[in-house]
Amino acid sequence: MSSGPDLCHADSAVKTPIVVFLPDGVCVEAEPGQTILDAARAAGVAIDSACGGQGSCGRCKVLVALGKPGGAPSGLLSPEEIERGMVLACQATVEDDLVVEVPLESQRSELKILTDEGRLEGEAARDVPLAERLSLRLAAPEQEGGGTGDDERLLRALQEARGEDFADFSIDLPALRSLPRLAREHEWRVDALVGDWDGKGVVYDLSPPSAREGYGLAIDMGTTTVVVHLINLATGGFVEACASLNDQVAFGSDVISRIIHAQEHEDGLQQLRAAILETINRCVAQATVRAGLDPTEVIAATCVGNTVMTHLLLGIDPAAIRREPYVPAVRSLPQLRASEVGIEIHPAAPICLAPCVSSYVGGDITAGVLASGIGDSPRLTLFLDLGTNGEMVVGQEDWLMCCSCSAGPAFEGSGLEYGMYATVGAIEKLSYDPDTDHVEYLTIGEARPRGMCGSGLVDALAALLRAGAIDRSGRINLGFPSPRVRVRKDRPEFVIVWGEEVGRPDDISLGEDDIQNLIRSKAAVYAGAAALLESLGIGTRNIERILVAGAFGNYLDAENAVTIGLLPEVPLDRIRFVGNTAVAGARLCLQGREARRRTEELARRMTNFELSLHPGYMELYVSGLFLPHTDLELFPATAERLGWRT
Amino acid sequence: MSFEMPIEKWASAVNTVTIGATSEEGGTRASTVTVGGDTTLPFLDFEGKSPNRPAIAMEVLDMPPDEWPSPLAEALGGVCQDPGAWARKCVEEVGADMICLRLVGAHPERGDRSPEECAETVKAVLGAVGVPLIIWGCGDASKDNEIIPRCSEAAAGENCLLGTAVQDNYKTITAACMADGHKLITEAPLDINIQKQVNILVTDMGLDPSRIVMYQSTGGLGYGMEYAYSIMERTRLAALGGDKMLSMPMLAQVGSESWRAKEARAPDEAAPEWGPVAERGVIWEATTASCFLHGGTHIFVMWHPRAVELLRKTIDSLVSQEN
Repeated sequence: MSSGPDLCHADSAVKTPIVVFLPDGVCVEAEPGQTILDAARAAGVAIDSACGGQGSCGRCKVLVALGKPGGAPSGLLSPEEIERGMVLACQATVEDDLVVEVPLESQRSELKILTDEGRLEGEAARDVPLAERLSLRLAAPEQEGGGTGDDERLLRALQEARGEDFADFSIDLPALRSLPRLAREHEWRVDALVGDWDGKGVVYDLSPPSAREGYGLAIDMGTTTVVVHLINLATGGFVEACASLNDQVAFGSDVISRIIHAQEHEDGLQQLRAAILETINRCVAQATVRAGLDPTEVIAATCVGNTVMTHLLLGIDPAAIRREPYVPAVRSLPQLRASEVGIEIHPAAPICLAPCVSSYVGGDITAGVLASGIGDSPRLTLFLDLGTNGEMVVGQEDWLMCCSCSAGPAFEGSGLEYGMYATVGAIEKLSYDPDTDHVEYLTIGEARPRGMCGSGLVDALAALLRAGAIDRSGRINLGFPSPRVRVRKDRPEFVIVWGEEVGRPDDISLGEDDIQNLIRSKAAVYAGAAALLESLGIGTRNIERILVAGAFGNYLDAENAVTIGLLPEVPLDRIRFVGNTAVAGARLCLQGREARRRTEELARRMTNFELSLHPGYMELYVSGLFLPHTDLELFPATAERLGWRT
Repeated sequence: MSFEMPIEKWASAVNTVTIGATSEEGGTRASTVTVGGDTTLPFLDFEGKSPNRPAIAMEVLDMPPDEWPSPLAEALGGVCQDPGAWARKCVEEVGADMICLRLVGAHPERGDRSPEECAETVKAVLGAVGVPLIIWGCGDASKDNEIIPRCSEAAAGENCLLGTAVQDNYKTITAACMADGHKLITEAPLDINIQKQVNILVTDMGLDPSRIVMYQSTGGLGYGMEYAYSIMERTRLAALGGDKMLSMPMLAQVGSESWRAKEARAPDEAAPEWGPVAERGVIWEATTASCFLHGGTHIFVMWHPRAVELLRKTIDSLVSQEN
């Protein structure tokens, strides 16, 4: 009767299908008709998916080893794959018991992240951290008269220890409850966890005296990737970093599709909130395990994210962001507690969220502006943070203007056949010599190449343009005299790495479709910056420096970034790659009250410029769909370098 | 005090392009057409010069059209079976400066004619008339890449205008154009940036900018005409301002675009309140042409003989007497 194996239970009267996922061997009961992807999610099995289960990305290929799934075969699978029993997990449904094998390429792997240690000259003004562990010695009641309470003696001890930095102190009820016994058992010595609530010290936990130190988290909630840094709050030292693809990717790859998901599904908002929390908590668990800490030893966290991510983390309906007149529900947030937010560290730990500027310029940018210091500098700076959204800020100490454009995740490696996040095995630097037909490359971790990350993609595009392997619209020149140029499955492409040279079954290539994707991304970024500068009447020659943030890799070659028209042409020494400034800003906020105060001030100081209301944006965008740009006069030095006429 | 006219002086000019080659020039044409060279906005002859009159080409198809509204059928029905005769009628009876031969019959979904058949048609039209020829593909990219090189070769030395090079498909036609000594039409979808991009792409292949004529996929009256107009005007301003990649003369497909409108085609019984179809379509085409004339179009591709007549009158009344 049943074609599938009877796996975990033998009750065949009302049979709930069982799905076993290999290689993990995880077993889950599924609703009949549920997709394999949903079943996997319920089982905690991570299957890659970029399109949010629309059946359009083809990343969630799984092999059905036993049993027969429902649903029509996908056109994204080759006849051979279908023959072998491959299905798309988001399209195939569970009708009966199944054994599903998740192949390596469909497993969503943990990301190893560059920690960006020391990328920005630290103006890390460590003053009052968000929370600290204080070892206190209270006066014993016998020593003083007047019948004072234990609480007063604790407050007095706090005053003596940290009175310079706090105007006032208060004690949470759970701490009060534990105070009398703890103090007496330990001869009036206690460790107190004290959070900084805007200058007021709040004691939220008491414990026996110890030599332990307090730890904090700086969390960057990206649309595509979540990065967590674990910091020793006593020393300010970096302890661990951990990153993961945002689980929300399963609900759509950009913020708009997530807002839509939140609206169109009854528990959509809760699903999205659960997904980001799951991602964060997974990272936290990993970081604390590696550091040999108990999660409750993490006593504070700062979170930065774009406006939509900030809403979703807190379960606040982001619907209005998408609708005229495009306003967020919240911009500035009160300091919260870990248990309220759902982050699995000390439950009463303070959580500080960086304030947002507008619907599409969020706390990650406020934090980035803080970390990059552009709001304190007299130099006119253009700051770009290139992620799934490209945000830019221009200004200096007296004024700041910002805007956001939808760049797409191409430079994060997403949506490209051999694109990948800046993690181990990603080609992050490359050059091509057409005379010898040799591609020289460097991978992160010097590992075997698996794909290309943002900086490698920038290099590749510039190298192909320089060599004449692509034309200025990014079309591959099929007459280019190299075996690297070929047409595979109707896709013109350029082979970057021959598979046989590195022991891969396939070659790593850059296809014409990938190139178009990158060109659209870079055009959106350039157009955003151009519109912003144009509206301010600032010419690119007036820009004293360009700071580029984002998850490109360890390097971003300034010359190549200008050559492809990702950045406006300025003298190359004015361009600096500053890495992940969002997490850097989050770390500053974790460690300094002044930094926290400054982010609030910066968010209020930044004037939002709405690109969607700029009538010329579309035209600026189309003129950017060319390498480096339709108007070569904007790139005179590049044109000269490449020997082109202007 | 005497009044002094404020004069705008432009640094640059629109390129001058000649189409067609006489026997001295290595071809067989009886006449040639030269357009462009303008140093001012259209018809502002107090500011600069427009040394060449706009040219009127009439369109000839290599197969009879599927559905022709009655005014076109009446005017051209008798010759539409034979491209040579059709071209001759346009030149001899209507006075067309050029013929635009559109090879619709090569389209895989129409006649799917072979490159050889297309080349034969080109030769037949060249033999039938002495005016310069525009050779226009069928619109199917891969089929055009087969037929255009053959047609180009068949017309080698005639200095024809070949169309069209688009962003996604420009290499074959550009190479053919360079090999056989023709001029090239670059096409963009009503987008000044894409127009410039295509021009850069074909010149990057080695084609001299002076051998290019630009075509922005025209919109007729009621269907984006003002949009097309503003693109033309901006293009002209860019040319006068010195943008070498937008300095080419412009061509407009007026006939096909105007007669696509239901207002131009609808028979009397379908829309009695719109006036007689016999007048309506012709006026539609002439009005569109008149608008583009003001926008700075250099080559008009027209359909109806009476619309051609009206356009010629308009040009006469606008070009300065010196020309």
